[in-house]
Amino acid sequence: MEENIKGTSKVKERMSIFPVIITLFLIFVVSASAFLFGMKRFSSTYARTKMEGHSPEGQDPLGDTLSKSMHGLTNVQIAGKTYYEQYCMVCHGEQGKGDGFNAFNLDPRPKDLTVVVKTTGNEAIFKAVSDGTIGADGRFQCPPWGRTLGEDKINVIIAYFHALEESSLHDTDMQ
Amino acid sequence: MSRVSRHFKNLLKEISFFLFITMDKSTLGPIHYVWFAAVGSALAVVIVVLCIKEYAREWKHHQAIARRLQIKAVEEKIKTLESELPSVNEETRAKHEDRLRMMKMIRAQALAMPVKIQQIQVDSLKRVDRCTTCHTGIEDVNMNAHENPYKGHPGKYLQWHDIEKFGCTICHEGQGLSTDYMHAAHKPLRGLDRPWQKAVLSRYLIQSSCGKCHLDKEVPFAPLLSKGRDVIEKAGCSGCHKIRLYESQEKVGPSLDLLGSKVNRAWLLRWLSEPREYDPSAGLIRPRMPKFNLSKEQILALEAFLMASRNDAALKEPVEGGDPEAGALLFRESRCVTCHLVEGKGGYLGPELAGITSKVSKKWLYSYIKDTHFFQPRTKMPQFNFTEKQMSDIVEYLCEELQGEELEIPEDFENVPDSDKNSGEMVNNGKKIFMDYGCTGCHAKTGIDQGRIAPDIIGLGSRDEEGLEWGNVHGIDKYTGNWVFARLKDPILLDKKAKMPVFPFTEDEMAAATVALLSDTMEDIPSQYIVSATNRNNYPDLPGEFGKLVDKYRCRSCHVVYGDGGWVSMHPLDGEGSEVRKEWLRGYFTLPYTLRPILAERMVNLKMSDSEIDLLVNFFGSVMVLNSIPVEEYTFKEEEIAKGKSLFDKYGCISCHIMGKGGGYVGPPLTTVGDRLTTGWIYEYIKNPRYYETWSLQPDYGFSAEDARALTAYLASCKEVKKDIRISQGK
Repeated sequence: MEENIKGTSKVKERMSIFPVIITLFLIFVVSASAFLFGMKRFSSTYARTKMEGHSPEGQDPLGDTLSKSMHGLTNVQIAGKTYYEQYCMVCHGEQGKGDGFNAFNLDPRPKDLTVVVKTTGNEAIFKAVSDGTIGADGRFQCPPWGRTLGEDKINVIIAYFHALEESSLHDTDMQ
Repeated sequence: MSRVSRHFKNLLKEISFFLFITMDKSTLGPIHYVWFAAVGSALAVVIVVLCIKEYAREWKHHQAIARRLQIKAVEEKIKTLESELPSVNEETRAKHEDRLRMMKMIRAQALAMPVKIQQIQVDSLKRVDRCTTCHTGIEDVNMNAHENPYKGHPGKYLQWHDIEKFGCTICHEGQGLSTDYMHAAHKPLRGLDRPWQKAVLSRYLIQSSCGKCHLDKEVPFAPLLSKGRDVIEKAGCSGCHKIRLYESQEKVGPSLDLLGSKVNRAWLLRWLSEPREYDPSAGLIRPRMPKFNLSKEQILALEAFLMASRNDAALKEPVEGGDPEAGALLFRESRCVTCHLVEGKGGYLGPELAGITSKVSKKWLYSYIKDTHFFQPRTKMPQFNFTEKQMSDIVEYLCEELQGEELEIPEDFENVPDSDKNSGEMVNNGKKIFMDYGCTGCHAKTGIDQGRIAPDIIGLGSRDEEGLEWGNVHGIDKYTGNWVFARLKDPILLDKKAKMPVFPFTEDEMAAATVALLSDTMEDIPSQYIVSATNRNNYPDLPGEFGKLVDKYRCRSCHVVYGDGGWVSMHPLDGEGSEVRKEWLRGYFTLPYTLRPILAERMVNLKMSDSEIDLLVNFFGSVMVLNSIPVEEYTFKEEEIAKGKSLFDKYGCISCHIMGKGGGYVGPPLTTVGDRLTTGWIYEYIKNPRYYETWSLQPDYGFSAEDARALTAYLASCKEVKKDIRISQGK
């Protein structure tokens, strides 16, 4: 570059290298800052932090209403809730405490599911729901729902048992 | 300094040449080589930056972390398996070693997996998804506890819908081809930031995607969608809008012919200006009448038009000597609350009866009960076979017990002359408003049939949200779902000229209806993926004498009869002849009693004549039968009955059924079940409860044929010899 400048200076007049260097430097600074700005502005992390900076309250009325009416349960638990209400609620009660309207009629009383999920593993619960429970006198207590409901429905119902347990913890906290 | 400034001048010339401002080459110095160098180096910088950016893509980072997590999980399993290995007994040792080998193989696979973009191509649904590039562990159940994007898919949705066959965006939406968080449209954005038309559906809204293929009313594992579809059907949205799945629905409101003879003017004015005043209960309990955005003049004109259609000559005076006490007994015996509300309690098919006198006159009540289908040809209410005295009794009871205060014309309307004195112009005006606001969507009116007046909302889920009119709504995420929700909540906010009324939904119902409406995206789904109810034998109009009776008593309001009806009971009557005994059926038609004590809805006492009962019983016994159930009754031995009794005790049937003195209230009482059901039905039902009633709560114990026979024997022996029937006078 310098050679070129020297070569041409013989024809016309000598030219200083400084303005060129200053200009190149300016160009570099401007483009570098533009690049850095662009990287920041158009990067996904920037956009995401901008999104997350928004207060979600009131931004999405539909989503808020849905989560309010679904009590923040997962989709699996909601599905479990509908089947729980159809099949289990009459005996185990709305909150799973074993106080459904048919509970008075049963001896022994239906189990408190919020306790059961804490003490028993999911596989054992699945077996109990699917095959039914048999008391010491050889009589059925909880009927076997395996053939009626099938594996998938029982699994979502068990997921809802866990939601019941969480909500019962929440209730005691509130008190 | 001057030399430096000259050089700058030179440089300016260069710049002007470079920017094509001046093309005077003579002034050009050799300095433009500097520009060449500058552009070249800028290009080099850009290429380097692009390479670096491409190298440091987000998904590579995610894949690396996901792989580390997966390997960690597998190694933990290997460790526990190895530590357990010495203590394992001989029998399960081989199995244990197999599992260990398998885990090691998985580890080797995970280690050898190349870092690359993953892609699922689904030709039949026209989707190409690269979501699994970041969400690598989506099919791995062990990853469920981790945060996104390393999380495994919750539930069994991927087992039901193979990811290779369906992809991701068919349910979740968003831009499948992108491997960048924002460009994949994880969040709904608008304007220049919007990367894709449809953003990823939020947590609960995802259920609307189930409705793309699942066209049934009840969609398994998607309760929100099912609820939404129910709301749409009951609110009668299809009266004004064309909606997929509801094209052939009937009008939900009553006919408005003869309204002038039915209601009084004060009530109608109040009803038109604020329907909630009459019954403030929100939700889909009656009244379903929405509130229209009408001015005072419009209401008056509409009222003039509606009151003009009358036929006072058709109204008859009730016979003298109605006894309200006898009416009260009849009211309970006929189970009017199965359909009607009384002070907020009861069924939802009919209107609220408390305060009925502030709406209609005694004369109308009497004439309506006497000649129900003359005044409302499409009503769900049956034509009761009361005697004139009984009708008079029940009218007397309604007017005395459920009396409402006499309504006065609202203050704003007081100074306006009575509509009878109004000119024909006002009536014409009212007719225009009646048609303009689409009252015909819900109400029939002779001479006016204009079809659906509102825009089609077929394919609402696929609307481009940029094209939606948002009006005065600000500060919310502007995507289609929110628009539909806002529209249901308050249409005026979105569009000042909106004619759509405000429906009395609760917020939950609005949200559920939105989910259901968004499920129609007009996508081209191949027919093998469509899940829809099997075509039942559907006879819209039943022929012959039986058809006439079904129409007269409106059986289909409550029951499903040959694929149609069933607003109260789910149980289809198509096989009833095989289920119940003829003698029982005859008694039940004469005096219905409660089969399930916990239900508020009960069979209505229609006071059918003996010949009608004969016809129905014979038709049920000979036509409405199931081929799979034998006509002959089984005969049983004594020891079978004894065995059945012990089985009945062992299986805890008494937990849900009443037998003798004790028992639960979940199922029907079995004390006299032998009188009611045929042995063939009992046997088949115990053996396979869900074959005949898919919604049945009866648990399937998987009885052997022998046990089922024994139980049938015991149940068939549960009979009551003599019945003490107490019925009201007159029948």
